[in-house]
Amino acid sequence: MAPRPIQAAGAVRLITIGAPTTEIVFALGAGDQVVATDTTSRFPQTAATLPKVGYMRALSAEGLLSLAPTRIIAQDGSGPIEVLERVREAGIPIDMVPDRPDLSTLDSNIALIAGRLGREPEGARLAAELRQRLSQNQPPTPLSALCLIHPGGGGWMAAGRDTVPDLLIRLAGGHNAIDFAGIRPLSLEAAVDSAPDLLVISSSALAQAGGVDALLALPHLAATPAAAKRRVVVVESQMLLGLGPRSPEAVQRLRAVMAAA
Amino acid sequence: MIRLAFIILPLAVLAVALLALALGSSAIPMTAVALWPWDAAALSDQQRLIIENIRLPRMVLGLLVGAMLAVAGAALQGIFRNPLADPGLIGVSGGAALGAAAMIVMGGDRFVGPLALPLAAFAGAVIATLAVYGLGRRHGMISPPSMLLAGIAVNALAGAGIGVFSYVGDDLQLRQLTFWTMGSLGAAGWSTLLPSLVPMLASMAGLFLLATRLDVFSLGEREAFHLGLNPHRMVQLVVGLTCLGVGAAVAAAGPIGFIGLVVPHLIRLSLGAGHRVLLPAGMMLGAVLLVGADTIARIVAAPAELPVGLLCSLLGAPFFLWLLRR
Repeated sequence: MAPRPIQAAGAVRLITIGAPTTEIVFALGAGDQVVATDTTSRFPQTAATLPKVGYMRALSAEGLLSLAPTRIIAQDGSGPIEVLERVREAGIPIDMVPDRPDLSTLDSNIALIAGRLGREPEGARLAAELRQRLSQNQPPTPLSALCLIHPGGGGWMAAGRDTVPDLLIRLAGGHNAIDFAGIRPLSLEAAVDSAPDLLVISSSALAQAGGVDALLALPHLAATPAAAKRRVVVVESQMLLGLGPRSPEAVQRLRAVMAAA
Repeated sequence: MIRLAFIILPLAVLAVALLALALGSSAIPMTAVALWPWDAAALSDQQRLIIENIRLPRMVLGLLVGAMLAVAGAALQGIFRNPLADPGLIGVSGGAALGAAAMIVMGGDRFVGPLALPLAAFAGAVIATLAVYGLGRRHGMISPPSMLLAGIAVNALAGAGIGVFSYVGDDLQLRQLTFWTMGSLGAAGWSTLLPSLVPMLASMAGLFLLATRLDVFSLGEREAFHLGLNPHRMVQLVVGLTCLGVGAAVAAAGPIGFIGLVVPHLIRLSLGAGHRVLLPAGMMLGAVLLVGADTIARIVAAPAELPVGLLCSLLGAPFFLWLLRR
């Protein structure tokens, strides 16, 4: 059966998969063309209230097709791949958006999505605006920052090299207190040894820890310079872990704390 | 009673199969679906594609996997004379999960394509079963109790291996592995269905041929031996055939629990323990339960879907408890 477009003309119906992808589509002003998103897409508010096609790595072929999309824009890692294959067979184009923590990927992702939506001028404007906001004045004293992700069953996880939080910390003018690669469990001793000047934590992790006071009272954090100065930056989880239009906001929050040091 | 069951069960298979074709997150009119084999023009191109390339292969895979798990469970419970035996016990699921974990974490970009993961899972299943079988031998003779113990040990080892891969893997791989272990028929398509079809059908055919001998075997190993049966050969055949079929089932759908355990019990309670009834009736009931559960899994959260393995455990575990307390 030859793939063929389902709707020759008429309304554009987008499904966006992955929080950064959804945010870029909305930032390009194409939010009204989005008919559904995945469960990780919680920003902006409109995206959160759209129908949900499930978790980005557990999609359903018929579920996607039932929404009659004309295009699906998905972050790398969406799947399962067999499901996406079924959807492609039905003639729905799927764009896979790379997921790498560096600025050139953010630029090329915006260009890719803008191109697919026929919004190249908006794309160029958005990319330039983000670049400009990200490259503002650096704080005078570079601080070391420890980024704590969810306290999973086995204790805290920290973001090391090659992660979005690491990029945000470096863009803010600081450096990562941890030098392993990826997001991994953090031993309590390593947390003490890393002696961060600043803690970055996702809002959901902070809630699980029981608030800032409970967090700083944890034995492995209480002895750190960050706890002594009460320097904690709370960033909403999706903003912390995904590289997108809201990244400058996270960077500015980090800079504000670093500038006050 | 048995005659009635063999009228009701095929009808139930037919009904659930038709329901699986008719229901889904896309609203396709039932009348159009009913006419589809004769009048494909009643459907739009996309609707036909959904039925022919998504619902149909998925329904067929569901029937086969459900049937396979139930038949394998019944045969293993027969050979081990242990009501708790299920395909997981001889290492198939644990080994498959380890194979899948290895492929997800270590395979990287080198092994892509829709068959890489199923093949790795199948290889893991075969290797684990061979290990269980090898460790279960005593003085050249196979002993079911030591095989059960070896199964527990090999499963624990596989679990540890999965833990190591989870530790090494990144967030994305971890999620992928987690969803794989929940079991789902969502990846079904003709290209993934066909390679698993042959081993499952061959395995079920082989086990059916052994039904009478399983009856003899259930008298006890010594008794079976005196009645002219080679118990050693028998265990070899049943374990080999189960590994082949369940390995293919797990490779295609991930581990799906409780069907292999609960279905044989249900049939024994209602129709008796003779394998010539147990195997075919279990086959049909297993198919009905899995396709039924999958249909629910596809529509309750539409346009998203639940992993059907999760749903099976969610419904199967309380049901099994009820069966125990009854």
